[in-house]
Amino acid sequence: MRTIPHTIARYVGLLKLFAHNSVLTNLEYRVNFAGALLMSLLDALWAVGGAVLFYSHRATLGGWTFPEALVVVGMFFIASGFLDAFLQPNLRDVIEAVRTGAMDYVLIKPISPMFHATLRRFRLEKLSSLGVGLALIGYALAQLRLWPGTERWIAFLGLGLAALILLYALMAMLTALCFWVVDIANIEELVFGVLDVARFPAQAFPEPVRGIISLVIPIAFVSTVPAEALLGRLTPAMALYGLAWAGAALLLSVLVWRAAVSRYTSASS
Amino acid sequence: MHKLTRLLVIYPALLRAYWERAVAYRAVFAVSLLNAIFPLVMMAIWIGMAQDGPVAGFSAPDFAGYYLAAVLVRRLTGVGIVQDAERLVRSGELSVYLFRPLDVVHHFFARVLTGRVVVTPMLLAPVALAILAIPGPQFDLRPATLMRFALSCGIGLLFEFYAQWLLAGLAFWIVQTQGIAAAYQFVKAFLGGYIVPLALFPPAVSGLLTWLPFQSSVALPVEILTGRLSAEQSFLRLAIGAGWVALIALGARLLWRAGLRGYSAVGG
Repeated sequence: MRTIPHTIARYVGLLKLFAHNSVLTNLEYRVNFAGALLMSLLDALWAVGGAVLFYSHRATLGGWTFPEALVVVGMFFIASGFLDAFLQPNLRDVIEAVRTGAMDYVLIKPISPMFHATLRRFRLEKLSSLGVGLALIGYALAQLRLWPGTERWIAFLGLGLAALILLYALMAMLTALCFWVVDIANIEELVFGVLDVARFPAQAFPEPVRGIISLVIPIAFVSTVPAEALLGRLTPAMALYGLAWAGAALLLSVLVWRAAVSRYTSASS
Repeated sequence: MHKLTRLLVIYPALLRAYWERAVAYRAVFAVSLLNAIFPLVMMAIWIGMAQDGPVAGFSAPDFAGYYLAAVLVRRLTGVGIVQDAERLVRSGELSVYLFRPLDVVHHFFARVLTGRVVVTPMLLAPVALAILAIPGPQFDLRPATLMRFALSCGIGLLFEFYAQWLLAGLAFWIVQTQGIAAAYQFVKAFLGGYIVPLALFPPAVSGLLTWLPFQSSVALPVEILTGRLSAEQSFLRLAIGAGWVALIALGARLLWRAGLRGYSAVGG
């Protein structure tokens, strides 16, 4: 029986190895970086352009001014960059591995299959969205002439991290689904589509939608809640609710993966 | 004229072949319905704003009508051929088509035509239900309007088709056509009325946008169907759309001709 610190050190080492391999692969295709950056900028132009149009007709949207809403847009870009860079390429790989039976090679490795299957590959060039997101938040804060205090930054980082964990857990569960249903590309499309809701503050939506995305499907936690934390308009209860969601989702995803792996029969057998 | 009669003989068979293919892959088409989510997100926000009074003349039911029509029209006029056409050129598969007596463009056009016959009925029922459920008339269903709507959809489809055929033709010279195509989709969706009704842009900008080719892809058919345009206005906009189609089709043809002249297939 290995000790817990030992296990953690081993997994951190593996993560470093995965990252190193991904960086090497990415550097083979350097032109992709320029292309990905251009796409992120266009996407940002689209999102910001949409927001500009909304605000040309109203001064506030669900209580958010334009620069405040830009913080939400920025957080959305960070989250979607994380999704594109880390989660989506692995999802594709797992679907392929389960379909072809190559999953065998993952399962016989002496590490957690969920860890290996969901964090194996990064696409560095997609991190351009992350840069765009940070730039948007920086611009918004400059417009607001606001420099949040330390506790707000901590709340923002904590809830931002919770948002990424939530996304990771959702994607991991989605990935596990392909052990049951082979073709889940459709479901993936749906998830990406629904995530578009996170481009704008949850309060900007009319009532049935607002309630659903704040409480039932946790899309508001992806962008609105971290932005609220940064702007100091978040109640402690909502912050705790957000953290609880992330924790619960992560736990659930681990359980789903256990069930999925125990169900796996190789393609050939 | 001989060429045209020959095409009239060939097209029924071509359409039948691609129809069977489209039916076989109908699940793939169903997935394409999912990219309707983003306009519906925009619709929800506009409806939220319209709760305290109309936005630039749009009430909440107006927004619902506009975006539901946009989702429907997107299925009727939207085209996605750059990827396949580009692969044909890059991999050398194009050579197979060059042996055949029929220009390769017709294969793509027949595929595009049959594709929408498969996909549109999947959307018709939900849109019709939503329109009936929302109070207040959103669609203008008089025969004359429907005729103009059909015409505008035809022009929109031709615009989309030839614009993408033009982009695909770039594959004879450059590798990154996919990126260019993706960027084009962004611009077209935003300036063509799919994401935001043109009337909600600042007046100077929206006036300009009605003169651009993108308006015929979604904005024009939707504005006709929702009864936002008078007959004269719609004829002017139809003429603008048709003019652009002619220009783009000519450009695409010249580009493909030049490309094919310098084309030597991969692997000979």
